[in-house]
Amino acid sequence: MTGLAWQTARARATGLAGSFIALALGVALLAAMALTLASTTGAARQPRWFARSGVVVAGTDTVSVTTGSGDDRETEAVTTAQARAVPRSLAARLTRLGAATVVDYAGYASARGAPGDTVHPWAAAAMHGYSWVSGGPPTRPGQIVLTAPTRREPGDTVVLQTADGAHGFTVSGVMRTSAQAAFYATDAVAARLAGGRIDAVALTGPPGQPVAALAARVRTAARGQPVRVLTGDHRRDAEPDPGAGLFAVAASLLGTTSGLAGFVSVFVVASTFAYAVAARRREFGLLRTAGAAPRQVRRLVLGEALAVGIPASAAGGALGIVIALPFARWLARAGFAPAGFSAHFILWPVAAAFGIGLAIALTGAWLAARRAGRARPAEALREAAVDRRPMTLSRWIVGIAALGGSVPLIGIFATTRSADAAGLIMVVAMLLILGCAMLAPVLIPPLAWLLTMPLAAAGATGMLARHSAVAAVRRTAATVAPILLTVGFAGAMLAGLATFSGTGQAAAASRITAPTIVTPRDGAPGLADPTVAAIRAVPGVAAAVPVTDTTVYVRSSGEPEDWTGEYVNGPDIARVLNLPVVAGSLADLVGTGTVAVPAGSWRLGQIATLWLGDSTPVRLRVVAVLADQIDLEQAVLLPSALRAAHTAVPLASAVYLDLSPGARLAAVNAAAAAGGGAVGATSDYVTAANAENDRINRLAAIAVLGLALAYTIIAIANTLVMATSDRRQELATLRLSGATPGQVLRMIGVEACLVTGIGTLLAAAVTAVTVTGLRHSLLGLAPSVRVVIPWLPLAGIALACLAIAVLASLIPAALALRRRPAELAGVPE
Amino acid sequence: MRHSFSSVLPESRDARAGQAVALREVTKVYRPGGGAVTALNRVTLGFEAGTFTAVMGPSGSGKSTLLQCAAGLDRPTSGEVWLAGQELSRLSEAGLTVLRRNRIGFVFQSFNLLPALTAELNVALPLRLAGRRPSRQEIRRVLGSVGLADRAGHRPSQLSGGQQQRVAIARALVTRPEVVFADEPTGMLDSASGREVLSLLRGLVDGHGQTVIMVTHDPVSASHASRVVFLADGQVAGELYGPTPQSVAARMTDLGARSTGS
Repeated sequence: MTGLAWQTARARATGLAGSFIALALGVALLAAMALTLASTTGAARQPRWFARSGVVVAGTDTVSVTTGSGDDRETEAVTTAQARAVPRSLAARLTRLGAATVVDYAGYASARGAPGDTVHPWAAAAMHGYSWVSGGPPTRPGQIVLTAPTRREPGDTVVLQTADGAHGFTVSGVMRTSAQAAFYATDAVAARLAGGRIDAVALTGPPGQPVAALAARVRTAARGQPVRVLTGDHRRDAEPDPGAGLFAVAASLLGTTSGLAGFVSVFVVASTFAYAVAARRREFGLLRTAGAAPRQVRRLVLGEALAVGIPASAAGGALGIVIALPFARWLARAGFAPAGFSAHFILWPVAAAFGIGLAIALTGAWLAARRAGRARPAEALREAAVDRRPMTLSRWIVGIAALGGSVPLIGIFATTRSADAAGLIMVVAMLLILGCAMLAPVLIPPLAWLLTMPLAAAGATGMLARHSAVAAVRRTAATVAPILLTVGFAGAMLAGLATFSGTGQAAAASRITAPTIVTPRDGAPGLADPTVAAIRAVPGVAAAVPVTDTTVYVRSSGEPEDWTGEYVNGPDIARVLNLPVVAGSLADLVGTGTVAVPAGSWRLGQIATLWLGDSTPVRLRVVAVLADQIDLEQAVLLPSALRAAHTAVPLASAVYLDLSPGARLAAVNAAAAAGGGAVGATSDYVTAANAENDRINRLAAIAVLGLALAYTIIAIANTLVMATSDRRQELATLRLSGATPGQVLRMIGVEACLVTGIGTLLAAAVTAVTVTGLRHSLLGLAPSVRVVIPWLPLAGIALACLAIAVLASLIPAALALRRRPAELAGVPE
Repeated sequence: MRHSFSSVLPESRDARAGQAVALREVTKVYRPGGGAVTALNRVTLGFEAGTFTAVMGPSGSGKSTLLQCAAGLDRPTSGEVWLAGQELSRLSEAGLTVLRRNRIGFVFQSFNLLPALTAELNVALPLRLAGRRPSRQEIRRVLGSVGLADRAGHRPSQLSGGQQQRVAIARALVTRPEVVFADEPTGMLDSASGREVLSLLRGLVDGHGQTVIMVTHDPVSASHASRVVFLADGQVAGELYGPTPQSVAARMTDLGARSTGS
């Protein structure tokens, strides 16, 4: 009996350590993700550009949809990428209010060697503090002020790319300021370069007068106009904020990451705690023999789980904070979050992770304890290494429900936008993996027999590995689970996303029939109209068709949804793009009152109501309906004449060229280069764009999968160490039966390979189902579906799992085998 | 003064050849923690081939240690152990393992069988570990000789304690060993199953000329043997031929009194 107690105490130490590690790391993962996600809600920011102004008036930038009435009124609002222009009449009225007023223009401007992407009137410099590095303000129309840091000096000539084309300016001065970097020209020049579009009007009252009074007067003057009147920290909202969009990207990415982290943590923690309890069946049998009631056994288990759980969750929370910092910085470096994004400590995400981890641990332990307490003592004392009823009713129900639940979700792939595809693929993978894990005791025996068929014929090791894996099927299921998680998620998400984006890319590329394309260089937002005209004027250019990307907002089930918009010239577009039109004609896409929409949204001839990129609501007549295809699903075509009044950056995102055989390429290149563009073959552009897309997708996959898979791989090692340590007696019996230590280790190694093989096979099935479902859904939506399976990274991950599994089982086994076999078997002296 | 009985062994090899197992001046000292415990103190003992010997003694007498040293499960601190014509201290761990597979059968009190394998596979295990593939008929025959041919496909959890021990004996026999060692084989069994196991062992000796060495603390079990060797305080303290439960019990009491007395 003392031998028995000693055995269970030793086993318990490993079980406790394993549970501690699983829970601590799970909570760390959850806390890190939650903390980073919570940090994306930016801290309060102070105005920089408008720092010295009292009240700022800027165009509205929200689109809101209100549904219901009375008590049920609900408003969903979305902030648009751009704001509307301030009406000229309002600006004139504000100037007459008697306060110091600045009318700020912010036309697009970009130059090599100087920071900034807008040109403002010199009067705007009064709104924020500045000091001179050299020179002074612009006094003549051809002069311009730069912002430090720059190597230019007063007197230098600078070519400024603007919406009005490229212009040369002379530097009159270089200033230093804490506001955003920008160019300053004379007031008249700035107004012209912005096309007359007023970005904001800033008013400052005399010193001593409270801002609130001025603000009240401004509000009265601006009543009924589509503008915002901003004071205090809200003035910051009127300033350009390139980071804002990225915060949204980061938040959505982190949402997916947190979802995966949550699922994985819950899974691993629950199964580890449950396994640790189940492995102590014998000990509980002894307790029951000694007279403990089932309730007392359960209380004991819960108490122990609490004793392990609280310090583990606390350690995990602390570790999570440590992990969140480099993770947030990596996100910023990879371009998924604004530069300088970092996680800062907020209590509630860490506390939530702590609470969730603890709750899961207790639930897992309690469920297993219920089963252990219910068993009759004699049953529990009998050899625990053979599972008699591994499949319970609840396992059947949950397993089949999970597998069944994935089917309708797979059907939804057909109507999913690419932005949501990652999330949906992940949910489908979760359900499939959960189903396989629940049904594992049923699936493992046939798979084990299949995989060991070549081996069992040969020596004893294969036969032993197969039989012990099948007999102790619950232990095998517990060790297969983390492998299934790792390879399954990696496979489903990498292959699913690659197929999805590959198909989308192929579809988009197939649209372009123009062989040549001009694109802006060096990250500029676009090409100016004069540049397009210059290219068109080169002899041999049969057509130069500009297209401008924008965002539009469409009301969809009670909230505004952002769709893609393209400003195009209807009659010309068919020469360079192959767009499948099912009704109407793109040649009618002219003027400022027409639109082309995808099938399923509006019908031909209907009036479509939507909001443009600057939040202006418009009513446009549908003149063409496009086919329902994957890359066109939420895209509308707008007439190019509509562009000028509704964007602060009236540039072409790309220009498609149709060149006749005698075209003078050198002249085309020169015209493009003068405007900051580069000419290239469309195929090269598509390849480069796809490669960039793939790179971003790869980074996104790493962001989402990276930490979660690191956790599941550690769980593989953890589970195997726990499971192997429980088998000390079995190993001793094997030694006493005449196995050399080498043979015992070989058997353990073969079993580890077997477990990895089973996990990988199940993961392959999960991946196959996900990708097949995806393929079926996409078939109707794209000209062709390319199933892409990134074999190299997946093979790498599977091999890593194999290596970890083998090491994690061989090392504890080797350590156990160092003792004399008779001592291990507990033979009394 | 205490008599120390040591069997006189002929020095010649010929005479040793007639012995299945021979121990010569075997000493085993354990060092648990601080002090030293002498489990066996210069024991010299021989076991004739084809005999059923019981090794008896009170607890702490060193009988299990004796068995383990004799069977090559443990190495004595000094002395020689001869088994099947080989001196065991000259063998490596691998060599000992080979010996365990081919020439020795061992039956413990418990933990004999692998729970994951059926009776059939458990019996075949030593042969398969040695790289041989025994035929199913052979295994069935061996199981039949212990009366369990119809339970070949059952796992240990489906067998009673007595049946498990009988499967263990079958496994010990399948390699046709020179010697079968049994360490308290009936310790966990009720008297009826115990008697089954003991008569099985007796039958092996009488019917097949097998050599069986059994350690026990129970006089009734010991009476099944043809010779009983008594150990006390790590030394041989006497022998008894043709034992009965009463004579064995009387000797044990005598030993007990003497060791507490002196």
